[in-house]
Amino acid sequence: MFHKFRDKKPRQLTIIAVSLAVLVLITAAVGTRAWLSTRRTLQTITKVQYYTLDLIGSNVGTIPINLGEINIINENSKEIEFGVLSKPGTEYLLQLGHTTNLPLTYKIYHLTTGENGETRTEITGKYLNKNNTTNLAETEGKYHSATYKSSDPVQKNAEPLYWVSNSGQCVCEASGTDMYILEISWDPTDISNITDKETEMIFLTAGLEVQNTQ
Amino acid sequence: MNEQPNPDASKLEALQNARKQITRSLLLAAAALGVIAFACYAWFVNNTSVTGSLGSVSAKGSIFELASKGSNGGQYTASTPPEYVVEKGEDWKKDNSTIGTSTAGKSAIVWQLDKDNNSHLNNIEGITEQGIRPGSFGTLQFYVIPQINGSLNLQFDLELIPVLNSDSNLTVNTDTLNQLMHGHMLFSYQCDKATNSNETLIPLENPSFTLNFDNVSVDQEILVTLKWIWPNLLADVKSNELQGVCDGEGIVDLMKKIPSYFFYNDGKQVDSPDLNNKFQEYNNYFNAADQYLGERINWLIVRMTAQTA
Repeated sequence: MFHKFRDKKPRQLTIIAVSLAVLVLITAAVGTRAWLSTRRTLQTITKVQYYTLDLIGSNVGTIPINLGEINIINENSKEIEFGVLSKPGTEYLLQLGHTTNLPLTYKIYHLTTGENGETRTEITGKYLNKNNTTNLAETEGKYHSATYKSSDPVQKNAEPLYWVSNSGQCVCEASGTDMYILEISWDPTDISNITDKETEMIFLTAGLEVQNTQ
Repeated sequence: MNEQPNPDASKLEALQNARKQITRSLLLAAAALGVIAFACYAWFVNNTSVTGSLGSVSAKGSIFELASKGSNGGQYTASTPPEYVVEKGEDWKKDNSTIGTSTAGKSAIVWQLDKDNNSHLNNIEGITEQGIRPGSFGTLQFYVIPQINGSLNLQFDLELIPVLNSDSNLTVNTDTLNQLMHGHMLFSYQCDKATNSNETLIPLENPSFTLNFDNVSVDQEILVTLKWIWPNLLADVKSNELQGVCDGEGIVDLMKKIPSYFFYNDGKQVDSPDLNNKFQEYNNYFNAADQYLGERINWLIVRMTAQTA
């Protein structure tokens, strides 16, 4: 085998020889270490059960909660109680969506119980597709595609209006449960406008102030 | 008349020198190899308490085993995806009685659990709570079983492996998910028999630690305890109410260094927190991080791997 190295210079031959020796040593060392450094593993698995927000209503823990029926005879409003479960201090938004078949007015109150009894505080907010004078859902079809996932036209009262509470209005209490009342009212002198129709769709949702989409 | 140097002769001389050097180097390498082989052999022969012949020890292939105690492998519920179930280990017997399950001969086994070990983590007899959520905490214990006499240095790597919710159509950023998982599920370790168990929090960015043991004996188990918590509130961290798992002040310091492990703002960068003046803002980011994890992770695999350091 040495004739292959005949044309090499002595320094090159020395380098080759030393390299070979080092290679043998490294192979031996790595082989021994790999043999000694066997890995051992323990493993377990658990379910992650978590919600940040949950709505409770007449059917506890179900989504959507059941808002029930509205009896308009001899009354001018209906109150529906619901709650929000979350971590204390969590800021969230309440969102209300409803169709416009009936001339109803919606208000949401936060219920607190103290030494002076029950206190109601109205939650302020704004409609996203309606201003003081114009129903933008009707005139511009605002949020139509978000609602129906298509551009096909629908009857004008089936275009829902979306209301959202103002930032900072809803902060979960230390108990982890906030109670609210959704008040739906109507003009008792204008019952005919209501009795001629029968269905209104109302959606109530709660979401964190910090979006969670990406 | 001067004698001219013979070029063939000088080449021959150089070649002979090179031969000598190569032969010398190879002899040296062979001698070193012999020394290594002899040292390894002597090392095993010296372990007189290792049962079995030299051949059976080398077949085991490890100078330690891991083991865990538990009444059964019952941490798995009926709904656990079968692809995530690893096999049960072999009985670890000592003084003719079974006291645990060891990894002998296996690369990965089920971590045995019982009521006192791993509370809240799983569906274990006596514990009604199933699954974890913010506010959950507990312990995970295991044993190192030396297979040598003398000193033992081991590196432990903790892996948290999320099994994502396949029903969710939410997008998942893997880096974000892993960072938030390690920032919100905190683990610490404790081992009285180790010579270096001063540090307790398992690092978030590189979740591994080493334990050095002096004077271990074959089959004399060493208990290692991991404590864990998924803090419920940012306020709990700030007020150091972390069930003794780790120091809240230290976690607040980490929040300032690596905020992306603790806070989430819809994918936008979160600056180092000012918890005194902007607590509510960062509280929202902290809760959003829990929401990010809870909505995307269906199952969580906890894996502990040990190897010689």
